Amino acid sequence: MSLEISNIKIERLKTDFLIIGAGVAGCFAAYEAKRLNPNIDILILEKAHIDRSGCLAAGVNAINAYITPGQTPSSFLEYVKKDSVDLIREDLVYSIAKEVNSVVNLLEEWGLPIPKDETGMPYVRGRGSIIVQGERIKPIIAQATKNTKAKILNRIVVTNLIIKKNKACGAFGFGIRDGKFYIIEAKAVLVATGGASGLYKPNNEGDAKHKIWYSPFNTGAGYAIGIRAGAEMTTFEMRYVSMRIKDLMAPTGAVAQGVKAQQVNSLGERYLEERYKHLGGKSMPTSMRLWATLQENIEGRGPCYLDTTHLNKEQAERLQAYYLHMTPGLTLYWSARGTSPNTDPPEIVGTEPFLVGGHAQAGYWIDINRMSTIENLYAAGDVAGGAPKKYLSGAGAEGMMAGRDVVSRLGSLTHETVFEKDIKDELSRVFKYLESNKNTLKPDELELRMQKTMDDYAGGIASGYILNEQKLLKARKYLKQIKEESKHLFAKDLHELMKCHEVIDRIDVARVLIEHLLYRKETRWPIYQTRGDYPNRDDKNWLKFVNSVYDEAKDEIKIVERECKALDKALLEV
Amino acid sequence: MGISIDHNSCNGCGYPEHETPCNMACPGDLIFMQSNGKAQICSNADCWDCVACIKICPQQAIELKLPFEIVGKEGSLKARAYREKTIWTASDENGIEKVFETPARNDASLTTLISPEEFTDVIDSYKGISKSFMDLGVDI
Repeated sequence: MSLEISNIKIERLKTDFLIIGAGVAGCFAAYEAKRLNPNIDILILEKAHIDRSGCLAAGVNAINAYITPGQTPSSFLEYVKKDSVDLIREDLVYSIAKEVNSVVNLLEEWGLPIPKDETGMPYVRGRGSIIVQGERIKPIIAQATKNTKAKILNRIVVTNLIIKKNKACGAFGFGIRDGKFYIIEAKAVLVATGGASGLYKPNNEGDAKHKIWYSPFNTGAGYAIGIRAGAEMTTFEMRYVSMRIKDLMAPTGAVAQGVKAQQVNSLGERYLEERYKHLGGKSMPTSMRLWATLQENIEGRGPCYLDTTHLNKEQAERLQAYYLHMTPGLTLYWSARGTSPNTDPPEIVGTEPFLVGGHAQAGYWIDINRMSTIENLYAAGDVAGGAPKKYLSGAGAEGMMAGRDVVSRLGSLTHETVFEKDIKDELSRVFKYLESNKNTLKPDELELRMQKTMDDYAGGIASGYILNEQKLLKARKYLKQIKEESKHLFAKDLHELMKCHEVIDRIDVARVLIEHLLYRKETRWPIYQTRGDYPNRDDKNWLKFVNSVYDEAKDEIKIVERECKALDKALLEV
Repeated sequence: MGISIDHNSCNGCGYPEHETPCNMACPGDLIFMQSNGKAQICSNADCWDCVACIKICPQQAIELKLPFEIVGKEGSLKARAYREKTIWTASDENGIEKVFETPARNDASLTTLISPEEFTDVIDSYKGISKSFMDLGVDI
């Protein structure tokens, strides 16, 4: 196969409903749309292979958005609102809460093992969380999606959306296996690519750099294509930093909630209760529990642990095996060291910041049907903003809502002809890095430069997550230079071409993130967004959304403020 | 380190006529076929330890190794995915093994939904993109 631009083969495809990303949101969108209208033509584009792509490649051991007995959609809403310091899209969160259980029911019907107690109820692991045995969850979802007869194209990297008159009418991309340039015309487009990892320097270096919590292959492409298309983005400044098990960066839920391990410092103190009772103790918001942990280290009482020394041998073994459903490396970690959770309790640290709308709320500004500010362009799952703590089941719920809306509007939607000039421009933009000229910059090198800049000046791990204006202005300046540098990228094959576009996407996302961080002049979500120069929460001026729109022609990011509204009581009745 | 592929065991899975299971499974597009017909990972630093390739390798040629800098010990994890369960073997530096088993699918779906053909259905709707996937019998 020749990699010269003039020899690139073009593949033109036409569909009713284009879904970008075959993760939970994308697959559930396809399932729901096909269920309601079996005749709708659906094309799913996936960067990896649908069987093992994205966040769920390894599996999951719990579903964290579920209305457990005694809870209601309203109580879920209140919990998310409190944990997110009052600033959320109540309409979006509430609509998700009403559907998460039906998503779980479908998963179970498709084959996901969900252990039950003697009354037939799933095991509740914590508020809104149930235990599942989800090592095979991704192939299970993939199988259900294939059964809908939606068309699936694997190993396609989407590089940009096609927009005409503020309407989405398709997408461009390239095949990592076949090297073709893809032009997809569609009546409606759903972006469901997941969030962004790799913006900041990670906890580990070198050969261990991808031992990170969030999928390193979720590179913010969904945000980037929306940003470049001029879609409005919200609340990028609410980054997500999580407390994780050191080294392997494995989730802590199975330990903290599953076996009720307490956070202890090196003196054995249960510090949340003993030292931070005034801030809420054990029931502090998620980010504050991490803040307290960092504080213990600063004050010389680290390292901190999740105390699993109370487990007996059998319980410890079960806990170790439980991670095979999600982070198998952690199971091996104990085995390789010849230890077990009861003799070697997991140490806890903070991760680097991520942008992920399913945990925090960075993402597209969407309406109740999940349509963005660009007509016929939808967003669901981790790329959709305004609704934190939706997790896996909430992503499925959002996908279904988008699928439903597309089906109901399908009769009024049409295809648009794509301009030949747009095709030519994008083809050249996408493939130019393959040309053997003087370029020698490797995508990994540029990524390291961006991560270092973000770590140093935009509140990474090294700076204790703390932000201030002067540092952010430096980050803004350097990122502009880094963006300029990207023209020197060189890819020796299609895999590296993908990596070139991944780093370009990350730079575009990081630049928008900087503008959001600069704009919010208060500290609303400690750790996620701690402004050293504005250390207090300021509801009077800042209980509102910070949104942004990028103008590619002028290379300008414009900030727009949006009101934070209470839930329309009429919705509660439905 | 991420994964280690044993080239004595790797038989190429019919490459180049077929896309190999490991190559298909990797979410990071990291596994390539060498000119000698054996699978190789292009960058272990890029591996996320998801173990997808390990579970699906019919030859059990792949194992997970943790980076020395974060563990300081040798050890390996192997896994084999069957229709109804996954069998795991974790070894410490002395080769002492611990075996685990995890369920893959619930019982109800095994009796109602699953037919053997459904485990080989990774041939995509568009021809010419992915090559046809080999039939792995009872494994997926």
